Amino acid sequence: MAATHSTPIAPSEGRWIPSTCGMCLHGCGIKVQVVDGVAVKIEGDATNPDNLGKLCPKGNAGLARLYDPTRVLYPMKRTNPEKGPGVDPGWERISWEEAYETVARELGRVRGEDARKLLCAIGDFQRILLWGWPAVFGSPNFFTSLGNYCGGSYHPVNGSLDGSFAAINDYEHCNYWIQIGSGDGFSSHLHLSGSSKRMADTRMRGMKVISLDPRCSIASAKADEWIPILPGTDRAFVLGMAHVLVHELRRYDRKFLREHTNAPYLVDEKGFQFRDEQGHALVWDLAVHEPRPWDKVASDSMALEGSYHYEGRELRTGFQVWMDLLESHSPEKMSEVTTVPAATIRRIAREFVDAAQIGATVEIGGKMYPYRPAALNYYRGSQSHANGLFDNLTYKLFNMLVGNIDVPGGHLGVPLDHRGFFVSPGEDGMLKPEPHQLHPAPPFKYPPDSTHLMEWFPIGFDAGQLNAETILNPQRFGLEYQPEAMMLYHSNPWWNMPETNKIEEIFRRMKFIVAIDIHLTESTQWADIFLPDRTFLESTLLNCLEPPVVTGHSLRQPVVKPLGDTRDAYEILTELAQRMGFLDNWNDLLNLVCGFTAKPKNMLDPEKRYSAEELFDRFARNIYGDDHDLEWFREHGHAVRHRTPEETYMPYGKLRIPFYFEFIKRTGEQLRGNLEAAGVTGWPYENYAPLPYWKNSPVIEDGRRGFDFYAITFKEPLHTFADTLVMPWLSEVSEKDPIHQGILLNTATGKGLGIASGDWVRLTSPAGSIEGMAQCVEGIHPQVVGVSNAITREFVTNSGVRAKGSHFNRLLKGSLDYTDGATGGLESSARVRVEKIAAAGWAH
Amino acid sequence: MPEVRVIALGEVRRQVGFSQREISFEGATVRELLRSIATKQGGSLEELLVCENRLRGDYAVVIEGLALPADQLERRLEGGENVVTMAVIRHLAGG
Repeated sequence: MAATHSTPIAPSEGRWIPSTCGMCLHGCGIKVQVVDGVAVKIEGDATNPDNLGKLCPKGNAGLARLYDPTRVLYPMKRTNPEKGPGVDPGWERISWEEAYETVARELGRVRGEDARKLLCAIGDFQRILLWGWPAVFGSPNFFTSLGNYCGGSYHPVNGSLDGSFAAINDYEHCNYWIQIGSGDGFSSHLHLSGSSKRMADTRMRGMKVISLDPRCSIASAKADEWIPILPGTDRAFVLGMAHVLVHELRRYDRKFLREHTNAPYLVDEKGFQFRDEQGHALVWDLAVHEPRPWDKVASDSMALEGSYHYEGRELRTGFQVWMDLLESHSPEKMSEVTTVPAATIRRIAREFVDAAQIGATVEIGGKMYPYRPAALNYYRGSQSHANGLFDNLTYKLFNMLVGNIDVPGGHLGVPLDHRGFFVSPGEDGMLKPEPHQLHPAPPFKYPPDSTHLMEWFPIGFDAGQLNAETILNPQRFGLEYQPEAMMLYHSNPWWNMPETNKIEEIFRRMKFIVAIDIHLTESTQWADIFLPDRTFLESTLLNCLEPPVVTGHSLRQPVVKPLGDTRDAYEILTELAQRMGFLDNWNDLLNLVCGFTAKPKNMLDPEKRYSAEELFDRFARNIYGDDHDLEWFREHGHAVRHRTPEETYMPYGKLRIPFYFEFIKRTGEQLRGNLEAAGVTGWPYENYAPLPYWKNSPVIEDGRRGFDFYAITFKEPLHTFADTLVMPWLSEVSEKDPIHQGILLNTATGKGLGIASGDWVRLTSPAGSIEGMAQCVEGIHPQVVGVSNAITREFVTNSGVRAKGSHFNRLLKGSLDYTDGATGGLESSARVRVEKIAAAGWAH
Repeated sequence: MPEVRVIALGEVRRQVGFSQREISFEGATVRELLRSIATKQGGSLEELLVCENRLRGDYAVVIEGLALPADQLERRLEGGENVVTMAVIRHLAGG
């Protein structure tokens, strides 16, 4: 630091530099006060319509990352060949030249033999443009569960429904908001700072919030009503409500379903769309009482419900198929699954459909839209489960029953970035499904190339947890090689993957590990070479990711001179590409993912090196034109604006969205053919279904084996992923809140087990066990124990932070049985036994 | 004779020897464009990218930002269109 102050710094001192927060993936606009070359304060940028001047605790703590005294500031090599948790690597500072030479030699050797032998763990979401580096290296492998833990089933379904990447209810117009397993607007998920403000404003005008959660989360505590529910059973609650709407109240938006979905399209006995000889999807024409092509029948003549006999065929509409499935999902039946009283399921269903105002319209900007001010919003807790595809489909279909998808007041798609929804025509007047938005679907291949079997998930995400299955059981999956090197780039797979013991075994097998990061973690302490990256306050990036209400980019720019001898991650990866002889392909990949191929004058020369500033200058000009170069962004900070109604509401126009997801069924059949031809048996195909229903998950079945309780993990706005758990400011705040101090049990449950707050308890699941201090609280379902992610780190370097060691992921199974066979989504809850191992006050 | 801008990425770039170029060609279709571009192997880009009248599964042609369906090689090109040719990048890490 250039100077020290003994008196408080006034806001007028120094200068305020606009930039972008990097403490989570979303990137709020910030202003950083810099005095004498030292960053002294971070505030939200009020000119940025995304976060509206607000900033969460993580953003406020950003200075603690920049100036963390235990941050790694120089390239280092390991001198102790022994590796393992708690083993001192014997770090020794080296030059960048030695570091680069070593990494290029070791990874170059792997690349020369078989590039697939490199495992890559990438977790730097804001620099998603760099995620293609492994692909140009030649490795298909994705060795982390970071994204999959939350969005494994969520993103493919959003993309398949309406070409979006995520979703959120309409803050501006919604009046009745059902929130399931999500912190949107309260504590987490999409662009929290601005969303919290929007939620607060919406509540002030009277919107009602119903929150379903096993734990009394922040959203639940602030909701009008909290409904405690067993983990992984939210779908049953919603199926019960759908039963009420369809079979008891018979209230649903027939016009929307007929005009904007394929719900009226006929389905044959085998579950495929019924088509004529020309391949047109057919509907039942009520005017002539026979099937006719969907585009030849007026919507009010299309049968929405019904079974029809036609030329010896038994046909039903897609809607009727779900109606028939829902018949067995009465509130009473679903109450047995969820523990939520049937009367509550019925009441919420009725309140929801009343609030939806089916048939209402609203004029916005001179254009009439359907107006449906009731919507169900959800995220990780409700769908990151072994049947996650069914969970997601259920929530979407329930919203569709009231016609609220992408209309004012309803459930709105959120695009991946500034490009907006992925919109292109598919078959039968439908929007083309886009389950993959981060990369194209890899074609089927046997033997597989990737250790996470991406070639076997044609509509799925990158199922990082399956690395443990394939690498430790290669014969079962036909994997022809054994990985031997690992690149860790802002990722902590030892922490974020299930079944820690298996992940540790894979770490032990690596002959060489390189880490690009800011600080040491459970994973990076295994590295042979550590390449120190710059923090978000020292680096350059143009950022846009999952903005719920706005669109546009904000600039991350250096506000201080970089500390120590660090390098920007982009420049590290570029240097390594050049030394290993694939700079040209790396530049070409950036040409593609940055969209430079659409404006060739901005293309990178394949043979030339570019700085991060040069890259993002081109990126800015490519999107916004030459008058919006990097210099413009340095001065203005951002080019973020509200999305227009046309960009927000049904941006796909007259294209229909799927109600009956036939393409999922078809995709499953193709996969079955491919895998059976390859001789692969035992693959879970059951979730390749066009419509969701209730079936027990393996977690529920584990209850029959004596694992009486459910275990969940949760986080609050103080933390994101593993990164922030090692920051003293945030750790200190966490420690002042009892819910982050131990394993949460319901007070009555604790009493029944003879456990009181402060006692030491052990949780044992089919995968492993953890220990921690009991905290008995009222705000958790009596059959559930909760573990805050704030107590899950096992390794920290900062003396201001205690390693608390209750590493939740040890309880999770990562096997195929606990993976959604269609999406690759992982099961994020577990069944456990709870036992007291020491009384409060006894040292353990 | 339409003139289009051809952009070649990665392996295709190495085969054709340029990164981007304005090309006028005899004919009007994508197939005819690919036929007009020579590769270092001595054949044409059509021979590299096309098999059994379809675009090979491991290559992509993107015209004005839209991927060309494998069976649409007879699509007519307009002057000034932007044609990207590349090997498919199958694994950009997701998450």
